[in-house]
This record gives sequence, C-alpha cells and structure tokens, in this order.
Amino acid sequence: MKWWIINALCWLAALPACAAPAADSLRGDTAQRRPTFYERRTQHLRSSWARLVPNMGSIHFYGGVGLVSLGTGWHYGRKDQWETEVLLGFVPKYESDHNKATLTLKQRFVPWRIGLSSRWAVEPLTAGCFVNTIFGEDFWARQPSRYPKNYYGFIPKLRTSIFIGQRLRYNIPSRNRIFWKSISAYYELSTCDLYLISALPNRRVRLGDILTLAFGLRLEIF
Amino acid sequence: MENLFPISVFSAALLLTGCDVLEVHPYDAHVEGERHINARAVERIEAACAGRDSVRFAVVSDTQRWYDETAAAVAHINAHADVDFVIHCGDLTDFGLTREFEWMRRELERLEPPYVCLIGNHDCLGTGGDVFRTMFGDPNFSFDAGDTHFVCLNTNAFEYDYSVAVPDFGFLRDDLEALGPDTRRTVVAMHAMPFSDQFNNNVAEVFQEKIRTYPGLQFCLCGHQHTTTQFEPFDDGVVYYECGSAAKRQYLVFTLTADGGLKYEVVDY
Repeated sequence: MKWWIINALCWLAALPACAAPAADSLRGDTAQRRPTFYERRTQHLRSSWARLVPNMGSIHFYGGVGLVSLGTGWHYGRKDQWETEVLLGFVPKYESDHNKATLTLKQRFVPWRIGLSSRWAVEPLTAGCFVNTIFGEDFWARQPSRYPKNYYGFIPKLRTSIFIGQRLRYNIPSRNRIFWKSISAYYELSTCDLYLISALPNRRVRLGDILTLAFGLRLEIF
Repeated sequence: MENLFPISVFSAALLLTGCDVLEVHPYDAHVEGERHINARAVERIEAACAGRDSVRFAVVSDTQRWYDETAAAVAHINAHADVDFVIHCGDLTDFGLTREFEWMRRELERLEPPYVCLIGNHDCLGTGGDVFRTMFGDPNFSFDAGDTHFVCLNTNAFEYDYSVAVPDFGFLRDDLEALGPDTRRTVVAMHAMPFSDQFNNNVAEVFQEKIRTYPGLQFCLCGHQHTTTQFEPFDDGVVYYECGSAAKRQYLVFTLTADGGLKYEVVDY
C-alpha cells in the first residue's frame, strides 16, 4: 500500500519533481559550485513549464455542455481563488442523427472557503463563465458563404454561459492520499446567451425556464 | 454560514424535481412532452369537419422569440376567432434550440382548436429540423377539412443549400394521386413563398404549375417576411396571403363558405 502511495505521488508530481534529481546528481559531482548560466536557464525553463501541469480534474454532469464531461484544469491565485478548466463533453444523439462531442473552456472564481473541520470545508459561492463549442456539421462557427451577410445574427456552434454554484470539499489526510489531495462535490446553475435574450423581452419565459443545473466532482491533485 | 450549504442543496434538489433544468445541451434534441402534434391535430380536424362544405380557420406565423405576443394571439383566438383549426406558417423558433420549441409548444398547446405547424427556415438551424420532426411530424403533410384539401409544405430550400428535395415534388405527386373524390377546393400553405430568398426559385414556375393541378386551388398561405400582405407572384389569379410575425400582433382568419365564397379577415389583437 505504502509503495503505491509513493508511486502515485511521484507520478502526479512528475514534472516539478524531474528537475530535482538532476540538481542532486550535479551537487554530488561538484559540491558548492554555483550553478552555471546553462543550469540556471534549464532549471528556470523546467520550473516554468511545470506550472502548466494541470493540478485538478473533474467529472461533470449536465449543465448544457454534455451528459457527462471530463475536465482538467488549474487552480491558482494568491488565495487560490481562481480556476480554469477545459472539459470534453459527450452529447447522446437523442432525436438527432449523431452523437456529438463538445469542448468547454471555463473560468471560475471561488471567493470564500470556510473550514468546518480539519477535513471538511464549504465554498459557499462559486461563480464564473464558460464558452462551449459543439462539433458536427449542423453547427457552423462562420455563416456558410451562401447566406447574405448577417442573415442569422448568431453563431450556433458557440454558446457563452454564466453560472453560480456551491461546493462541499473533503480534504484527504496526507497518509490516505492515493490520487487526490481533496474531493469536492458541487452544483452549478447556469444560463446561456440565447436563453437570456429569449427571456428578457418575454414575461412568459421565466427564470426557471432558462436555468440549467450541473453537478459533479472536482478532484484536486496537488 | 455553515447552515447555508444544506439549504441551497435542498433548493437545488427542489429545482431538480420541479422543472427541466437537467439539460445536456441547448441543441441536444432531447424532446420531452407532447410529440406528433400535427398528426393528432389532423385527426381532430378531419373528424370535426367530415362531410362539411364550409370551413373557417386562423393563420399565425413567425412567432419566434415573441412568446408574450403568441400568448396574446392564443388567448384572442380562443375567445373570439371561432375557428375549426389554426395553421402556424413556420418559424416557431429563432435559433432552432430544443428549449425554444418547448417554450413555443407550451404557448400553442393552450389553443382550444387543433393546430398544425409548418417548418420555417429558423426551425431548421442546428438540430431544429430533428426536433420539429419529433414534436410536430413530417415537414410535408396534408389533410382534409370537409371538402377542402390543405397541403402544408417545407419550402426552405436555401437552408439545405438546395441539396434536398424542397419543395418535394414527389410528395406533391403522391398527395395528388391519393386525393379523395370529394375534394372540391385546395389551399396550399408554406413558410417561404416563391421568389423569396429561401425558395428554390429555379423551380418556382414549375411549382406553381404543379400546385395548380390540385382541384379548385383557392389561394396560398405563407409567412417568412414578417408583414401581413397579399400578392399574386405569377399573375395567374392565385393569391398568396402572407401572415405577419407575432410582433405585428395580427392573425388571419379565412372562411370558405358552402357556396364557394371566401371571406378573408385580418384580426388585430
């Protein structure tokens, strides 16, 4: 068991860690020597790229981006209040001809984190926006050339949405970690651009009509 | 602050059970509720009008994203129009989104007379064509109201880049062949009229010749250009009546009388 924990942690920390052995072996050969420009340069390059390693993942259900979506992303910021995520979603065909895939780019703001105990914490508000693109020949990003300019004044392929939500977070004690540092359950209520412009001039389209619910698990790796 | 979370989870659960918030995608074509609306309406119309030699019906069109106006039209038709049925000449949606169809259906379902819907060019966007087919049925269909035959056609050829049989002459041929012997009059309804940007204008004249072979072609119905007007595109005595969009707050009422006469009214609501 212990071996697996070490192994998993090594893998998850793969890129930031890979600079360390190199430095160690150098230190063994030439003790106390100041790193050369080349060494500092490669070290800098490694640590810069290491920051791009995704440090969280997610499993996301519904929410207008797919029946189920798998996400990977980054949490960052001085108070760890920002998150950026990329999700790949699956849309079953239902009454249409094909199953479809979607891709989502999502930005989230998490202003508060309230600890309930050493393990449990509540994030009472998450808010943000996302852009979703759906693949398939029925959805154009640029109006086909046969149409006069601005024949349809919108882009079927691209939806922009805003959302708010909440999360409950469980911090896994370090001795029990296998893959993840923490797991959060969340839900989000969103609405998209076309729903908003449908609801605004119409009393008959109510708030409940334009809301979309999503729920899922956020998995923090490190 | 600690108490907030259970409360909001509870309200989210309420929402979940309360309405259709679990959406896969705005274009998911996941249709819930009423389906095959045209087929059931046709059954009601044919049963109610069987054996009659007069018919009275209303026409609405281009109700996309005008839900309040549509609701007003529905209420007015229910209260004042006294019609056998209602024809919607297409463009129920602006973007072809699945929820738009559901919202528009919610308004139209309040109509007391049976109603049939034609497909508009906006209804073809994204997966809209699939949703239309599921919710309403085949975009080309016909029915008889007493001695009058109604032909409803998809004429949005431009949406398919002219690669699909629109208007479908095969459908017209089969429909003409299947025509009952009692048919005295015919009305042809479509969304986009000949010579409009959506129509396959290469066959506009051929189309007109074909529909003139129907017994007693009375007139044609259309929408698309959002104004209530009438015109005679082929100078052959066949009038096209166009119904304005819901924003114009008008619908049309036609009465085909037993003596072969026609009464045409534009109703403001």
